[in-house]
Amino acid sequence: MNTIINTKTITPPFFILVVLGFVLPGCATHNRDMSEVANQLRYNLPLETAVSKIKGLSTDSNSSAQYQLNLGYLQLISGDFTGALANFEQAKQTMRALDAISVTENIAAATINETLTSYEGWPTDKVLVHSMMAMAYLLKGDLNGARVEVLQADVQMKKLAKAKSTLGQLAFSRYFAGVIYELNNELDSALVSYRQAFTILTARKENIPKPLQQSLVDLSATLGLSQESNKYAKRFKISRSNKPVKKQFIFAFDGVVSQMAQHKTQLWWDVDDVYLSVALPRFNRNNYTPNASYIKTPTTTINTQTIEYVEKRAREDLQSDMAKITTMALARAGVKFQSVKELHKSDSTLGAFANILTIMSEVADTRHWSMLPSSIQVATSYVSRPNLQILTKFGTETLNISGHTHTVVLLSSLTNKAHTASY
Amino acid sequence: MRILLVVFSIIVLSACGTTKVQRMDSSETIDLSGAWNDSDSQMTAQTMVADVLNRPWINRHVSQKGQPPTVIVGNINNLSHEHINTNTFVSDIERELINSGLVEFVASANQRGEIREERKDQDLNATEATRNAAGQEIGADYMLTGQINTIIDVNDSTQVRYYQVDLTLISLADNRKVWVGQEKIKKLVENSKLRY
Repeated sequence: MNTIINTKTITPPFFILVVLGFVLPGCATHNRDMSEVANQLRYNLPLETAVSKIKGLSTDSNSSAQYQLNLGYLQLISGDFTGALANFEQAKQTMRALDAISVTENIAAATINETLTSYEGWPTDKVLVHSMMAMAYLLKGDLNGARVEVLQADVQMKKLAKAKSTLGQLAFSRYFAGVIYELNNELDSALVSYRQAFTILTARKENIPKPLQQSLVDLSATLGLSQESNKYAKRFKISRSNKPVKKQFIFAFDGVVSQMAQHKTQLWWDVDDVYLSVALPRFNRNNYTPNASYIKTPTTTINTQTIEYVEKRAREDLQSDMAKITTMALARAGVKFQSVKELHKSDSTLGAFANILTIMSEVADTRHWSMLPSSIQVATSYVSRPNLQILTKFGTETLNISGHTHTVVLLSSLTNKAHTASY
Repeated sequence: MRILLVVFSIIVLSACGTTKVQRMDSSETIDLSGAWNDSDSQMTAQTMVADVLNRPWINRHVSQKGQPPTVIVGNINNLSHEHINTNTFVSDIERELINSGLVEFVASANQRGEIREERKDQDLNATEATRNAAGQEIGADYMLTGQINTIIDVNDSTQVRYYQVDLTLISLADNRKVWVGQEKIKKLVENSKLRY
């Protein structure tokens, strides 16, 4: 006797949809975990804990550069310069390799969502990675290594300037290059870099921090450009400093940059005359107020001043890409809408399931260098004593600066550890 | 449905990849990124050493002193856009010079420290017959110093990388520059605008 068994086979589209349902959320989770650590850091999560939390996260190959940038930065401010350099170097190589446009990733982005593309870094990331590496080299005592990174940052900024004049042009990177040249006794190159920092800040209508003002006045005078020096002195209402025996360059990383978030909105789709739901990345309102650190000199107390508003740079980077992101999101939503409509015609259950999946898969790409400071501040002091007193939110710290001419100090609002290197 | 199948295949395939290792001759030139590599180091060392050995300073020294000149390698500064390990370049120069048989070489400042420590140790622990005495070192007649510079011009995915290696041989007796060598390398690097 033959038994007839009624079997219901799983159709290929159904299988694919189920798999996609499992695969897709993973891409966004990785970024969410990092953003969560960044948010906790804003509310007093110890730096060491943050480092272990980030190390404990599983790495998503598409976001490896983002992961390495985040970990590298935390290692830098916690004093693990070797670890920081290793991660930054990998991130740099990855971002460089991703300069070329990926065919498969773009198809995936156009049909599913943009988290399926590899993280190639925003313009600010591409430049700042070199400056962060230069900082790590400098604090490790490798001035030549720092100089190499400064040159690479210059190439990167020139490359970005050709595409769009203001994107990726960082006053901090230019100023820091000036400091490194000054430490290497290349005063002419140092003045060129200080001038570039001044030009960027002027173009952005941002304040020129006092250390940059003083460097412009002093270096132009030292190089015999008295007319230029007088012009700066008049503009900034300062005079040339007495030739200092010892000079301290202080850098302070303040806060943690706001986290990019997703927001859902409806856009009109002309082809089918419907409103389609899309997910777009955005930054919430910028509520950041810089907190200064203070340096006590025998005569006065100096405060650090902002040279780079990273909060603003991150928003500018996103803004410059928003038209492209929105167009892509709308086109993608249109493709999904068409697919769901077609599936619905052939099988209403499958169509309904596909509809749920398309909604689930519509995720905004909110990846960015989430651990960056909100602002980078600078100060310069001329203390000839063997000790330098620094006042931060963690209290007063006395740093030993004896035996050398110039000292570089790195402070961060995320740790009470100050890092120094003398040259 | 076809679109879904294509997309699914793309996602799955983009995760595939294997590691492949192939052994090759160390003298073979392979340019991957356009950055300074082992071939640049070897070729520059060979060209510059050939130049330094064919200049009149060497014969002048031999005729004056009656023995081949003794050279020491000083600092070769990396002022380029890349993290170049100058030690390999210095080793290449040393090897070429020593193998020429026309000059003698003495240990660099860093190596000397280690050797002197060993000699001190021999003084305490080695037998008298095998012990090497202090104060018998050969002083160098010339020091080789130099720097590696780069100029990089970049436009979109195309780069022109220009390397200039400057080496100077200075007489330790009177600071005279007896030889100045220069080697230039220019590379056009074109990166693909598309990837898989």
